[in-house]
Amino acid sequence: MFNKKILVNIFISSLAFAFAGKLHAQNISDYRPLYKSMVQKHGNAIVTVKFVMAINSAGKEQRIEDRAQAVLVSSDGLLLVPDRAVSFDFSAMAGGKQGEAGMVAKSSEFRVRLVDSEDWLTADLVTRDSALGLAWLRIRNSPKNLPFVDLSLGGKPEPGMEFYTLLRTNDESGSVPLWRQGMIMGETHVPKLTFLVDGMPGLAFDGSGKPLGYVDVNLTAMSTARSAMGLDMANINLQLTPIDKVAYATKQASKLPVAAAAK
Amino acid sequence: MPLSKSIRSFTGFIIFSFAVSSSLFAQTMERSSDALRISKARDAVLPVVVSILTVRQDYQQGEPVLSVSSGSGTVISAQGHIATNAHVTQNGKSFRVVFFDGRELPAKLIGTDTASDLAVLQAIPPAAETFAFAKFAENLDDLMPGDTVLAMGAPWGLSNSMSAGVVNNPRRLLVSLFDDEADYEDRLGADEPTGRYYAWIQHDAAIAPGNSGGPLVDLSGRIVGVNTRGMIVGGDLAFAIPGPDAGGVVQRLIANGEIKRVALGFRLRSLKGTRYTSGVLINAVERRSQADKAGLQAGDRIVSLNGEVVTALQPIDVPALQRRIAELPIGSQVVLKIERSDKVIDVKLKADAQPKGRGDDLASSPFGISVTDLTQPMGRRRQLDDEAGLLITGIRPGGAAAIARPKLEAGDIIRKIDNQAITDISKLSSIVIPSNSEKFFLFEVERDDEKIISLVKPESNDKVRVPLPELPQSWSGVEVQAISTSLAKDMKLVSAGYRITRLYPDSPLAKAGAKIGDLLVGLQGQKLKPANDVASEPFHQAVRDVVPETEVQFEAIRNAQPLTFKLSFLPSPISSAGLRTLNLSKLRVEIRELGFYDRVNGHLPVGQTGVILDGVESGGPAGLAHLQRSDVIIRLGKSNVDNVEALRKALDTALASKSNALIPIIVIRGSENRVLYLDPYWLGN
Repeated sequence: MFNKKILVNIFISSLAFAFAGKLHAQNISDYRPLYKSMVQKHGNAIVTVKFVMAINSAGKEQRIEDRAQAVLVSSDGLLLVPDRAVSFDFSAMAGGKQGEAGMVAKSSEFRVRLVDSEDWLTADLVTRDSALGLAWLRIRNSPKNLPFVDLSLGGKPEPGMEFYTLLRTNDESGSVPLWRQGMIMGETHVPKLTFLVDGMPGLAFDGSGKPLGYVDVNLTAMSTARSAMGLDMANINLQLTPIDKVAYATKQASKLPVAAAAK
Repeated sequence: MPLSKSIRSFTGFIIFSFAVSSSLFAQTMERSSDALRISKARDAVLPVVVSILTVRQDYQQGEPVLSVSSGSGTVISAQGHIATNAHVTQNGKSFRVVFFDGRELPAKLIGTDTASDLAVLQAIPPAAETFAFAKFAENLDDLMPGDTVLAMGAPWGLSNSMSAGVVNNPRRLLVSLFDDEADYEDRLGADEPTGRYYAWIQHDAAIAPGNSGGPLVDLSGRIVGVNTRGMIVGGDLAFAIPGPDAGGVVQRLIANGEIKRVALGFRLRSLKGTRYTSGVLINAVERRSQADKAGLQAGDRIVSLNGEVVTALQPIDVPALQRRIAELPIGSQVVLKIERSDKVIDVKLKADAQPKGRGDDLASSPFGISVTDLTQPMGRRRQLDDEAGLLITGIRPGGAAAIARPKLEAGDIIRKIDNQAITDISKLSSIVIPSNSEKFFLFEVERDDEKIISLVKPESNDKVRVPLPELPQSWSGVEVQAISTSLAKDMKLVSAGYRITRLYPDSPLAKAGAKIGDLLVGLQGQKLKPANDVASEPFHQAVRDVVPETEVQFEAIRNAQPLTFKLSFLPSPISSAGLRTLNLSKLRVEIRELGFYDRVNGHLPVGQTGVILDGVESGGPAGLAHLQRSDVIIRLGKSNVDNVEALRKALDTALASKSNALIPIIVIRGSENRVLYLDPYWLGN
């Protein structure tokens, strides 16, 4: 039942994104220069990360392999990823309070494939911020001078702005950059300052290539945004966390060592 | 109601009543006779029926998994041999048997025969002992449909259970009217077909999972069958291996530990539906088998075997013939008289020993795979040219094989590693993997007729658990309820705000003097004004927006009077994901540090120590001691358990005594402190 509800919500939200995309796609007729400059500027900082998510069931770990988009945010291999790639709190999804002793799926065995490389490099968890929905990994024995997105040079998001999310396909599909525009549809301060957007999850940039914030799906909010035949779709959207918050948390994370393994 | 009808009804009632009365008398006599026979049969066999507890080791996702299963059995010798089903002992690592009087003994596996689905265990008493036992019936010629039979055993693990029913068919082949008899063998099991050599006894005495291996007893107190199969859905259909067949197999298992049979490489089908009245048809010939080499063909009709006439008119006649062939002397020359295209020819072939159906299993942790030794039948079914190799049965997600270049897959056949032929699992286990080395191994595998090479880097640290840390967030230590402006008005409260509904002990607000029911209306001069009646998250977000350990001031209202709380926020307690966990392989459990939320949700004192169980493998020592997820272990043996490391030490200390005494474990479960007992037997101590 839980899954069904999520699926319905995701389906409705995808419809909403599709309609919204058509509306604002009319503003610019030729996106090619924008695409080219965006990919040239930041494309190599967008990488894919693989991981194994495990949950303990009856004393035995049930594991699945998964992957997520990651952004290099320092030249020495600090990576920004969505927190859901690192841990997933089922109690929060079921209406419980986050952080309580509920069932939590945890990820490990992070591996990163840099652009123009065939190797999967090991990465370790540094820390996470479940309230922001972000986590940070660090590439083990990282190569020097990696391309990265400087989050301190961010722009200011505002409702009505168009933004662009950079993504990278998996290696089975050529590991190529993708670019998708989105729209900031609104702004809320409840429970925190967040921009309500359509588009794709990932790091969002303005037209000049400045990072605007991190776009992600808020699964907890989606699961509680109940609307059946009322079709109230105002709550079915992605959320953009402003870049200053992302940058501040990233700065804190950059000072930390990788999380120590239990012995 | 018309009178005539009433009279007719009355007359009818009298006649019916008399009939019932006379019949009742006869039935009462019969029942008392039946009851007496049932109780005699019960007393002859039930006291020697045992429940069997098996700790199984199976493989999931490339790793071994322990679980517990139960079955039934019958003591069949004074030395404590116990007959049961092979599927009861399958993949068993250790066994316990529980006797009629509740006594529990460890047992060892004497032999198993998957082809007949029979196995023999032997109880291991602490001192030499002569066991009471029962015997299998030697023939079932007089067993008829309608005969009363008793099923004894432990359905769903409920020991000393007995049910009664009747024989539906004493010679049942599991082929319905709508099936092709030629498909029968395909349905007996992929790599280990069972039940090829006998017809089943179909009966309707109620059986359930757990009855497997238990006896089916007639009213003479004979074991006429071994209950083996049933229908979970569909009602009273149960199937037992005939007692005489079972008796023969278990005696050979006791004598030799195994049963060797002959395979000629062809399948049989009856003459049903043909014009023939003698012989048996060859239904299929396996490629490269003795039959193939001798030139036998599908459709040939065997009319004699080593000079003796053979005939199978109906499918039910085939199993006995299969058995007759299987029991030919291994290595002997077999002469078949064949009729093909109206010509009779003699065909000679060698009686090969039947190869093992399924190979041994192994999990390789460094490579992240589970494998099975390929056997000849497995290779034949997969149409492989070569049966020397290992079949990959599972891949550990994220393990070495899963991230190999290219990745290995379940179903691949490992032929070579680093150019060394891997012909069986001993070759795999003998590979030396230097710890913490960067060495890669070159695997050569076969996949869908392709020969693929893959580079695999083994892992030496495959059980590392990393607690998931978080950036510090401010925490006030309360749960709150949103009181919107309109709700405050309707409730006649002074202001909107967040009402404290729960106050965590020793939290910043608790220490500042806040109480449940206080209404928090401002923080650092900013109004706390809920947007609706349900969302409390904005309050927590307002707290999180303040840097931890900053001095702050809350404005509050208590009993319509304003008051303030001055405090410093603490970093929020570590969530369960951020606590240290340990996979304690000896106990087969995952344990975790006791955290703040464990204590408050479990109504435990702030200073409560111990470790919490995040997961318990049912077939592991902890599972067998009935430990459960969420139990908090506070003491093991003679040692207190304060933390994860203390549990490991306490266990080592308790096991170091080399005593077989049960190890008490004190746990907090709900509102109780409970004692459970860990049996060193399950730890292999």
